[in-house]
Amino acid sequence: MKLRLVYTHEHTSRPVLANTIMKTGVLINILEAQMTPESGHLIVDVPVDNQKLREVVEAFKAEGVKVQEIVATLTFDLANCISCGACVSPCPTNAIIQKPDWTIEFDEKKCIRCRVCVDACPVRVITCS
Amino acid sequence: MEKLRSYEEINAKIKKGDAVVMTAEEFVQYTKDHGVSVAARDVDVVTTGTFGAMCSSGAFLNFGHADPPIKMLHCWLNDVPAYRGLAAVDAYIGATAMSEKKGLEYGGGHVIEDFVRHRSIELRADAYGTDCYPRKHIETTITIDDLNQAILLNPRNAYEHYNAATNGSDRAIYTYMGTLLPRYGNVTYSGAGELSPLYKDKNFETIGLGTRIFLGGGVGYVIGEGTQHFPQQQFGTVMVRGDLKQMAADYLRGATFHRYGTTLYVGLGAPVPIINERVAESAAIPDDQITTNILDYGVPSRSRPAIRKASYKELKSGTVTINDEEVRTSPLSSFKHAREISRTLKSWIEEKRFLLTRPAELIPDSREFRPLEVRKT
Repeated sequence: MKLRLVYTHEHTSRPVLANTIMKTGVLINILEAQMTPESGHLIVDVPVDNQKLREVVEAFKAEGVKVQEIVATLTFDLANCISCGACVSPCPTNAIIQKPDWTIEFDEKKCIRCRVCVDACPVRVITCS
Repeated sequence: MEKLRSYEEINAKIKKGDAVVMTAEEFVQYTKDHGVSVAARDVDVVTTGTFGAMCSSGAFLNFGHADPPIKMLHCWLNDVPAYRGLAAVDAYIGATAMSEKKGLEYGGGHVIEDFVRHRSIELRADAYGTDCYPRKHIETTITIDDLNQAILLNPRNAYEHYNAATNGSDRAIYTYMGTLLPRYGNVTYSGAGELSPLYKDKNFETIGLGTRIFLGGGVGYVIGEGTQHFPQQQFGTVMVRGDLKQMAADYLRGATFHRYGTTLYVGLGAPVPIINERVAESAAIPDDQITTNILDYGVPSRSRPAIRKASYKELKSGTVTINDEEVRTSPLSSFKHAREISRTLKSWIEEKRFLLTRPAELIPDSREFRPLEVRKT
């Protein structure tokens, strides 16, 4: 599950992420980070489900951080995809594969939002939310 | 070489509905099962297909005359400049010409796709004005239906096979071979392998000026060798033309290669008449016998070093080994569409809608391939 964490300036001085990792024991991975004087935005990958995921979400909330679940990372307009494969091998996490009929399959769970595929697509059918 | 069948005999069988037609993939399998001699005798026509980015593509357009008329000096279609060194209202829109407003995101390839989709296109032109063509400026909208002629004419299409690409440098590079990650992070490749039109008649015994083909979803013709035709190294190419008005956007797509520019994906399929056993042998070549060099595009030179050789079978498997590491591979041309094209052409022939033509002149099987020498004065 990917989460978007929104910090306000009151929380930026505390090691929110480290605290959550220590408390839950979940190996949380930072995919994107943006810090400004007013706030911080993090997109993190939390590689657990169900009860453990709820524990992580609660831990973040206890730190005073706003938590949003990210449902869609990238959108593939497969009706307009030409099944060329230009997005496949540049993907660093094998999140995009070609099936035996060469059509594209995207595995959301593996995506780290690096967007290399968005630029690699020659017919611009991949968009990032 | 013993002649197995003539064009006339093949066409007579097509008209009767008796012709035996196989796609190149089917023929490769049939040959593995029965041997080339039997396959050559059993099969009349093998159909091929490719759908790849082909930069040397474009269309001749005739706009018709406005009143008062104009002899266009410069001309733009959706802000993409078209070549105007022709008669008053003839123009050539090339696939790699880029929009003066949108840059790399929209180019001649996209204009061609928009024409085929019957979308409205902004035509703008200026002129110096003459006694016979007094108008100096024109701005209007057109669709493909307004044009007298819209003729796709591609100087170089359907490379027999092509190099594969990787990147040994320390930074990601963006090329006409797509995005290449640093330190041999991935491999991209192009060409249709065992479906490739020109590889399936690699001695060029059946393909030449006048060969009727599938082009962009319609019917087109080979009109001779393509530019940079270099058959000795299996880099044969063809020049093709066809009526854009018959074509479909499923098989002609404008495209952008990031930080490189615009191009056009072209769908092309040729029928290979099995006129003798040598043609059958060529049509039967499988992916594992079609090899190409993986070149290091991280070296910014005309002579890019070859890292290794690989067959299309290996490339299609999804990984190759470079320096003892598994490296992911992916194609840039669409095998899905290439296969569809070979199947469509097969069905056209089986439905008696497509007859074969004997070329008036075969494309040459040998050509010098010259670099451009830079002479300093």
